[in-house]
Amino acid sequence: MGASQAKQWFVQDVLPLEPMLMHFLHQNWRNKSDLEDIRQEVYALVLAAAETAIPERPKAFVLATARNLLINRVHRERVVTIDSVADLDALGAVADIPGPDRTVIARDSLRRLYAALEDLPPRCREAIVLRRIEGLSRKDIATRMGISEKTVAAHITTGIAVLADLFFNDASEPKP
Amino acid sequence: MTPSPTMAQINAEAAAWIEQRDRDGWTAENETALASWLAQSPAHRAAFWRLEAAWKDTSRLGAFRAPQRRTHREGFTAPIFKAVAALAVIALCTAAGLQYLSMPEGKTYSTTVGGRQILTLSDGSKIDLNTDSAVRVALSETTRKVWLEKGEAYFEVTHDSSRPFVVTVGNRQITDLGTKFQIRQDANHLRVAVLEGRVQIDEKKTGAKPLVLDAGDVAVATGNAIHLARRDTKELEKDLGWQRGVLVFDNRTLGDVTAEFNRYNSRKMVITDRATAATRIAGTFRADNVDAFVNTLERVLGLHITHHGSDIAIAH
Repeated sequence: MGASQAKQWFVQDVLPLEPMLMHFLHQNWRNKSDLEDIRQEVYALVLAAAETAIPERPKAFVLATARNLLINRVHRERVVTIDSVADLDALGAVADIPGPDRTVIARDSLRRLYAALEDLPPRCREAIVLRRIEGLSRKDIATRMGISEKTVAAHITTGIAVLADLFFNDASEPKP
Repeated sequence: MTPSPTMAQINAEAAAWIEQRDRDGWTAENETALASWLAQSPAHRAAFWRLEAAWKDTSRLGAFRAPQRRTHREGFTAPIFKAVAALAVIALCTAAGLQYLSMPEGKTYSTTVGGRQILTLSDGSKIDLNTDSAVRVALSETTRKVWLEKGEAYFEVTHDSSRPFVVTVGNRQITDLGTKFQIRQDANHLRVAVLEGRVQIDEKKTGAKPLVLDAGDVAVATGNAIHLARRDTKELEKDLGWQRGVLVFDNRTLGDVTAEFNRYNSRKMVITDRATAATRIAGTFRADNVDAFVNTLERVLGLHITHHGSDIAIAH
């Protein structure tokens, strides 16, 4: 299976499921500061599998991977709080809830992008806007904002990561 | 599996790669280095592709680059983001930078495909001409007459009851009663939308009773019939995205959307199957950037794009 095919599948079929994945993780993992790590681990596992063979049902596959990962983590953690294990055995049922439809996500993405931008820290947002909307170079942004190029790069790097989180996690999704 | 702290670190590394790649001075060596970093683990690839996908989409925000207003110093984000957030709120007050034209009697103004022109008449009224459109204007001491010869125009009329402002389209007359309105003439219908104030439509031939439209009213005239609909004026403002160089669609069929794009561009899009034409989409796009729109269709909806000379075929 080609790497480019796996990439396309990952971007088009898996990433739009992120709100559902995060919702699932929120409900089933107590330590919220682990969630970003867990999410990325799920993605890495899912992608590694797809590079061998593209799974037929992305939603079910992502949730099954997440579930197994949580179970493994529970076994690995030395101290496990009881309710972090929640109802792991009942999780199978979750795979049947309707996930977001890809077209709907695409339709909505521009709106969510604005919302995401609005939520960025001000300096970070300013750097991103100058880069993406005004199309300025790193150097020009540095001059405009009166900061070093290194700081500009740091703002934008932070912005890229935060933006992706806000972008893929639909605000309309209930956040526990 | 990699221990947890590394994942956040990988994410940060991926973001740094994207930041670097995105700026000038990205070399072949950089590209090779990135490729080998990606090859190291699926975790690298997953992090990078995820951030890349969101980052790519931010380029679509470029549609909102404000053409005339470059007055940002500190706090510059405010006007831009107001424009972005208040999607539907059309800035009607682009007074700065308008061409001031003194209008001789019965002069014709026209735009080419993709063109746009703002006319400020000697009475202070404003006519904003959209793509492939023409108006003839004759102002006198006692009358103000405009003929919309073809296409679409938006009017902001300085009210003067002693000197009615009358727009003639074919055999219909639209008389301003103090207002902002939009008139669009297509092959087989005429559409009048009132954003503020009132206008009156008269049928010259039939002598039917005049029809008065209030703000929010949209009249669509075909043949001898006129259909009247009421809409929120915010909705109507979406049809005026062209004043900012963008087209705003909210739940429209792809067939309608491509027809709309084709008004602005010499390269025409053709949809080859009915199911694709019936697909509904929403979004805001630059009217003059067909390529960006077509790329979006390809990437987001997975449609197949084929170029035939200057035409672009779109299929499922």
